[in-house]
Amino acid sequence: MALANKFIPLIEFEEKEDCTYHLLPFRFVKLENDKYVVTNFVGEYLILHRRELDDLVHKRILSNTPLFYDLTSKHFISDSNSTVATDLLALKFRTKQHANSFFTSLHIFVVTLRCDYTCKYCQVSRQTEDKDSFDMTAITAENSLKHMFMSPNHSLKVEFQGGESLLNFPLIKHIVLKAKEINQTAKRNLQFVISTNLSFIDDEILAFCKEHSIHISTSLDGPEWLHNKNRPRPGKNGYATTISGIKKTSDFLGPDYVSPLMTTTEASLNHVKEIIDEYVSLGMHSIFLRPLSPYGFAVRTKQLEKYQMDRWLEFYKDGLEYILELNRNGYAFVEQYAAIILTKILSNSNSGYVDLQSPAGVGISAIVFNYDGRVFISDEARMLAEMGDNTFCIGDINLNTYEEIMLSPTLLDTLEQSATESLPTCNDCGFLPYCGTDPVYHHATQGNIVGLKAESGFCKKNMEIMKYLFKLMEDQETKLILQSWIRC
Amino acid sequence: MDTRASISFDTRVFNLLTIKAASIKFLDKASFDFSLDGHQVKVSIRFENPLNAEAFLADYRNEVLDQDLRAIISEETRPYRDIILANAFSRTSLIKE
Repeated sequence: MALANKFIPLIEFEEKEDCTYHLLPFRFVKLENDKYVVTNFVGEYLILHRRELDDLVHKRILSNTPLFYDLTSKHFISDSNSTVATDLLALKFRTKQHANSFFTSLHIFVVTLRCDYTCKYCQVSRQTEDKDSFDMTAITAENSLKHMFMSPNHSLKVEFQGGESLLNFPLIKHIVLKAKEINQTAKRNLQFVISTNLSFIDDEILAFCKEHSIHISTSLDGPEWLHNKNRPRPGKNGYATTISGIKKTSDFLGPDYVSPLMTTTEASLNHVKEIIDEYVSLGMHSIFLRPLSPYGFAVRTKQLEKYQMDRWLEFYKDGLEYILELNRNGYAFVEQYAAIILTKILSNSNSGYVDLQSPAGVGISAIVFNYDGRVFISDEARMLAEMGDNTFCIGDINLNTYEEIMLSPTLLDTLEQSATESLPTCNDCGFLPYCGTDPVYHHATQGNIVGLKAESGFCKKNMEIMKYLFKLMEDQETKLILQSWIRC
Repeated sequence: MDTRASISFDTRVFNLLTIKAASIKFLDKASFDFSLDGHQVKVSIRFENPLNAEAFLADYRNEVLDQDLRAIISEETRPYRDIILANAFSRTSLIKE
């Protein structure tokens, strides 16, 4: 008798034709025509027609239909008094959010502002090679390391930026060796990346990189004519130097240790296939099709005025179509921004991409130690400072404690106003589980960190790309290719 | 092409917050004035650039309907959002007994 009482009566499992259900939290966004993307509390989705959405909200979905089963299994509705649905949603939500508790992982060290290039879109104010006063000092570097090891995150990544970071290679060596010395007791998972144009790469530097497993990130904007147009190097062929450097580095460290990145300019917009072909010709299997940011020389040279987000989106979609064609023809190639978004759509994994987090990843996922000791909430904030806007400086590493920097009112206010769940327009958007906000971008383009999303290039970019990916996934063959890009 | 348009809604069908929420979505194209006359809210629209008013109003009406659905969902699911979040954070030290 006691055993029989433990089971729910059989009648509870029978189909109920006139079953009523209650709604669980969900959002929706129009995809196209009368199709909507409907997302539950943790980002699981269904594509519904407008009438189905209306029927769903007004309790007209019948219990013996495939749609009812989909809605129940994906926790859009619940038809019983059981707490299983809410328990599972809570568990999934906790999984998605748990990475926030790990705190700052990426620490950017701007070791110099000196550079040998004159890139038109440069997002930092660069100085010529002979100005030593723009190098980070050893004391600033060591104070920055002390701050870094105060982060509770078990994984710490050091990224060296510039200017041209290899112009201060002695300091890079000092930082790496000092970090490893501290880590003998700290026992963290340490990673190092050097961002460089590869002009000064040599055997000594490569040997050091190999010894300490340092990755190299460089810039390659496309074929020779485009790369040299975007990134002129006075007196020399920048493209030839970059290609030679990539090959040398790849041969020495291994192909997985070199990652080129491209930046889009007005000149790039009609040549996305040539840009992708350039990466394919080097044996690369991925590209990050990046838009132009509104910082640094990009504004001063009015690059931004030369094209709008619509044109960039055409460029992006053409590029993505071409990449899918490469995949269908047997060459595995990934577009990295799509991969980041697809990871958020198709898995419960947090991709860790700072610009698509809520709250924004500024300070709490990534932080920047400038050459002069100033600390910024993001690399974009540093770029803004080089334009004369110091809004997002949160302290001086040589003067302020860890608590003073990380509890800076500037940082806390920015974080508080970057939680998409409480931002107008974002809070009821169907793409909220996949998206974030960029407070520095909105400050730079609209003068306030929340921004009016109807006028936001950041919002437009993400909405269009996400809609495009959902449309692409309606084709099963394409969906299989896109699923293979997920990073877990 | 038009530079202005107007449309009215019955507040017994759509509440004012719903209409305002719909209007926010179009702030890149237009500015909005609202006035009440009994149960009617009149929305006066001024377009930033001339465009087809009928096409705009069709999209606007659909957005009002969408916002109305969102309001229903938000109201009905409020307690479940609280339960889910409370459950999600129940094992941290952030919630006081």
